[in-house]
Amino acid sequence: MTSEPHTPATPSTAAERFELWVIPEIEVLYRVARSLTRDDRAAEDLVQETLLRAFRAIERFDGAHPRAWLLTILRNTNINSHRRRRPELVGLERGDGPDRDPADPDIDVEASALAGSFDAYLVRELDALPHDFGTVVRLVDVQGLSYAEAAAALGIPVGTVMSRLHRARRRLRDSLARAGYAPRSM
Amino acid sequence: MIRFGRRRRLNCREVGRLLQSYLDNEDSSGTREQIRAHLDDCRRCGLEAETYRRILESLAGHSDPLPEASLDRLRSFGRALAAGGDQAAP
Repeated sequence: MTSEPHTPATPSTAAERFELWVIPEIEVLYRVARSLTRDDRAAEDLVQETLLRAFRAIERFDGAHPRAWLLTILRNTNINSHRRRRPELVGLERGDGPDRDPADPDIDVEASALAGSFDAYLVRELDALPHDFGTVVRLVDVQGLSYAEAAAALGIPVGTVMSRLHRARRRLRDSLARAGYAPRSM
Repeated sequence: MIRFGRRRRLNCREVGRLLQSYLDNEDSSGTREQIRAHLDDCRRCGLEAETYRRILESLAGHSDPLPEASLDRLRSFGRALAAGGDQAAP
């Protein structure tokens, strides 16, 4: 009788499940955590806590869409850690944060000259977007998540992801147009 | 009404509404061919699509390199979990 190792089609132990479904997603989790926290150390702590929670729940997970499952855990972990650290700010998490007037005189051709390039100007405008808009752009356009994955990471419906993303891109596009980096909008 | 094959041609307003999902390959409206045909024919919409493509390409290039040390620690942590359970993780 041979004793060759085998790779089961459906992993049976927690370790096998974790290796198959969770370990390959660590990099994505870390990228998303950095987008959510904007802080490397906080992102690492968030992913570590997410991994711990995922391990404890892995026996109950059926293996369908592990990335979305993990992103949901990460999102809930992030909310809980905010509550522990700064309970008074929890109610603000869904706010739009500081917004900018579309007629902001700061956005002009001179600004584009100072920024130096299309890419540099775009980064500046991305940072100036309201928090909720900027986050969804970072998750989908910078980190490459699908709409559904971003929805899981943010705990919002896919339709809301689409709405925020498309409005955010239009703001970016309009800013670029005002600065002379893009043609005027249709 | 103008027909494109068996399907109606889309106008600029309709394409504008569908454009971003189309560019993301996330459209579910079954109108990809119609959108593509409109973008080929309509200079304004084609230019709009090119502008968004440029924005998306630029944003995709802004993914910062991850701190490798952090990523290594997280992978080690994950493997320690898998190997020995949550009591064994560092």
